[in-house]
Amino acid sequence: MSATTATPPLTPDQRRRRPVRAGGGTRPGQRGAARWIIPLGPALFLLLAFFAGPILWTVWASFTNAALTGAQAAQTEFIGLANFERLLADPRFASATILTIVFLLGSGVVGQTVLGLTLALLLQNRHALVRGAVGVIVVGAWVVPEVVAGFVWYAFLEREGSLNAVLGFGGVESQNWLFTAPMLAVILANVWKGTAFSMMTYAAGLSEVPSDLKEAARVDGASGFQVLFHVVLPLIRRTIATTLLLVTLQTVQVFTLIYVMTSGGPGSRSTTLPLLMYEQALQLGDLGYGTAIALALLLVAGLFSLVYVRMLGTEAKR
Amino acid sequence: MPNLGVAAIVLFCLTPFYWMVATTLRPPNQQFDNSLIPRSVSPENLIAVFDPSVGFHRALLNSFLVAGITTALTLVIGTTTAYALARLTFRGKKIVLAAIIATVMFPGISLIVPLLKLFTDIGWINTYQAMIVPYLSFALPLTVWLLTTFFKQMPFDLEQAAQADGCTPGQAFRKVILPIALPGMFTAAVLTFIMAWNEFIIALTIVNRPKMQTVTVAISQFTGAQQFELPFGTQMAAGVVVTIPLVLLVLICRRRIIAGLTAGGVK
Repeated sequence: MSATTATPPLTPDQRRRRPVRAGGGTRPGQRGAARWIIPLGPALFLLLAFFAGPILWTVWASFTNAALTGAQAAQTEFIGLANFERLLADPRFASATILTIVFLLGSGVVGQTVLGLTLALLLQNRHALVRGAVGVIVVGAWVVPEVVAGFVWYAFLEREGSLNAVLGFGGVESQNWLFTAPMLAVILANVWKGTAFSMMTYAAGLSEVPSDLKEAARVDGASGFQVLFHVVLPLIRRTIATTLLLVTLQTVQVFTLIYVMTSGGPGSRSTTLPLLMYEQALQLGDLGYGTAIALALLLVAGLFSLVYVRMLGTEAKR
Repeated sequence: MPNLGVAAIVLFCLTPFYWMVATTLRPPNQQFDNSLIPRSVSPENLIAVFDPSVGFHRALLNSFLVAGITTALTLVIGTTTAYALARLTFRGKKIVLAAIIATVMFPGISLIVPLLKLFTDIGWINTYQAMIVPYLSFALPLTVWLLTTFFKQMPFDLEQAAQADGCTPGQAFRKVILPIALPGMFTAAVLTFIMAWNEFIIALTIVNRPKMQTVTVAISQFTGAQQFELPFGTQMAAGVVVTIPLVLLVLICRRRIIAGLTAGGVK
């Protein structure tokens, strides 16, 4: 989208450029630690106390029976690997992990990538007015609070909702879609919510593909699809990998949308890892077990990230 | 054909918005009416949201306070941090920058449990700061990241020229750099405000006193615990009220929001 390239700090070649330093003269930062500890102090303190600290505590707590209330809250004991043993034996954990991966692949990787990339491609050569209008609508979906989005989709998909009214014309039996297909429902809602983000990053990536390359391929007789798959997509591989990485890390932690739409149900048929963690740690008060689930969640996110980082790495070697 | 594709996607994106507004405008006795165009229009749902017994005013005020303070603090701390990172050279700077990128991407939900434990221990349950401080630490990395790139590509000569003309380093920063950096700071502010305004799980976990609830939590609890018989009309009306400030923000500064978001995505 032209808007992105128009804003100075974002074009990649500018970002790589080193700040211009005056030769000789007073180089900043050579007068000892005080010069940077003062401006950096508050941010470092916040990130250490409310980011790094909690992460370390999570690791520690996963080896204990820490609890929110009761005797174990006062006297937390080290219980070794018991939480993890319980995790591996827990069928709900297995199902939550699978559902998280289904949610991730369905809404993050397939849904948002396909829809976001398609939309970015379709809008590429449209009139600025069309791009602007579509941009506002799609970004609008991104900006709606997840709670509100959850309720809107709930209203839309439940038994009395409008989807049944629409499908009724086609003879589909009226049903509560949140009950019959809970995962599909939450995936659809999350695709709706997240497409904007991928569309914007892909549009920014596409705007950097030189148009003469596409034209040259066209002149050589390549069809539109051949140009797309052999010229455009390889060129924006970096964008695809980074977008996938960011989308994955966002999608793996989606809680609110699912909590509002299905509360993880019916049964545990849409209980993903964040919902299981919330239930165990915050509703049942078992902090130790909850933090073990949190670590499993980070593991899933980390494994997916590794795949994308490798995607980036292989490209760099070429 | 491409036009058809765009139209289909736009329809998919617009339908829920339309449904939200339509449900809001239906009179409560037609709540479960599925006709595409409401048979009659009434402001009753919107009035019901602002009924004093619901306490929605207070929730709106709470959200404005929490999101506003978070945004202001993020800007002040983020700008000084970013400026220092862009201009100073010191040992370990690369590590600091790498740590910031890592925290931008870190799945924040895994911090809920430790934060709840921490805030229980220090007695911050049901306070504003228990929401502001975590939001601040979630928003800071992206803000610092955005602004550092912004400051880095401003030539260092700018401040030097100002200092040669007799400015102190502080004045040079305030009078020369800040005005140029305003667009970047504005982007960071908008993104932070939206993030803090929309946040749900921390607000839900840390606050249980109705008077301290933010709008997102208040909406989710309009009915109490039961998930099944929802007052759709009121809920949608509240949704519209909560979304309007954000949609206005998007309309006014769509370009900046997109620029800020893609800055994290395309490297």
